[in-house]
Amino acid sequence: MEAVQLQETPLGQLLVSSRAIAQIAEHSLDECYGVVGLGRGARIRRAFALRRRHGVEVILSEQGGIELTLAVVIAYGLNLAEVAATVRSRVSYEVERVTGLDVARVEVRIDDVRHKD
Amino acid sequence: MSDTKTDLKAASAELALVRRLATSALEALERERQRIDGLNVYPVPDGDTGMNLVLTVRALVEELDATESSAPAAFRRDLARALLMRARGTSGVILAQIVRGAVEAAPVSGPIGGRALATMLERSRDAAYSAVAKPAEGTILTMMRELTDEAREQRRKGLSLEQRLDGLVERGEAALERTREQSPVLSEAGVVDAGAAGLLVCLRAISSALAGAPVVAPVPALRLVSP
Repeated sequence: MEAVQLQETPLGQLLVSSRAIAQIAEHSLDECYGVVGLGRGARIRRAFALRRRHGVEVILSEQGGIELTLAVVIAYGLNLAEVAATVRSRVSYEVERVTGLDVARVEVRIDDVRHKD
Repeated sequence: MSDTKTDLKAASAELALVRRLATSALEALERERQRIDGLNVYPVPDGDTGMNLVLTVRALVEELDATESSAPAAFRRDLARALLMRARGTSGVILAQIVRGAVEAAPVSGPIGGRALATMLERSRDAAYSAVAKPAEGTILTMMRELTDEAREQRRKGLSLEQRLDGLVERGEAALERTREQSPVLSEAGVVDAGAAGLLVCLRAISSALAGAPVVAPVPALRLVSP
């Protein structure tokens, strides 16, 4: 499994897996206002794709930062652009807060619009 | 013929009242904006909750100012659309849901009594909660739920609308204080929730504007326009 280095110490490296990063992103998506579900997952395939998990794709950018693609389902009747903007800022804030890594880019893809189940 | 005239007169008097209530909410938010911005540590500590609420309520006021229509269905649709398009930030998007719920549930005619008020708040609460997978406690959503509980509890009591709103403000103040303990992020920062504070500022402004407003009907009504 691919992982990102958080720290390099004389005793060894500290790594965080892409799965862990995806989990953090997913957890913060659950509480994002306007998000009522996750999409089927990003279909974009890239050489640096680390992990695809329930609508969250984690990519390690060549510059060392993290790129996230979030595939979400938004509640019907909301301002999609505004919800996408708040999703972007919330998830990148949360991932940066928890990992200390730089989130270079967050792509929000609205897969569907529907009423909450 | 004279009935229609009376209805139109009542409709425009009510539109004027709703405008005054919305304007006082906007003015109160503008006064409290910096304080609300300063409380904003959740979900992202970017200090913009107050500004987002001001921009969202300003959209509502501008829509009310622009409208001359006395056709309730069209008017409600325009209002919901203006709020949808111009809601800003998470708190603004939630406030738009709250207003839309209340507007949709407002009685088309007749004064607003305990049952109508409770129904309006229930619809607001349901609209607000309908758009989040896992609602967090100690937010504007918690505030909305507590206000709805209060409206339900006072439903059968013989109170005037002013007294009911007083009760809501009092409950809201206690609910706001409780948000401090309901979320770990807020207790750590030692603040109450910014969005909940903003909603209470609006409610308090509406409550005092209504109490000071000239009475246009035996029981002043929050409802929008008569058919």
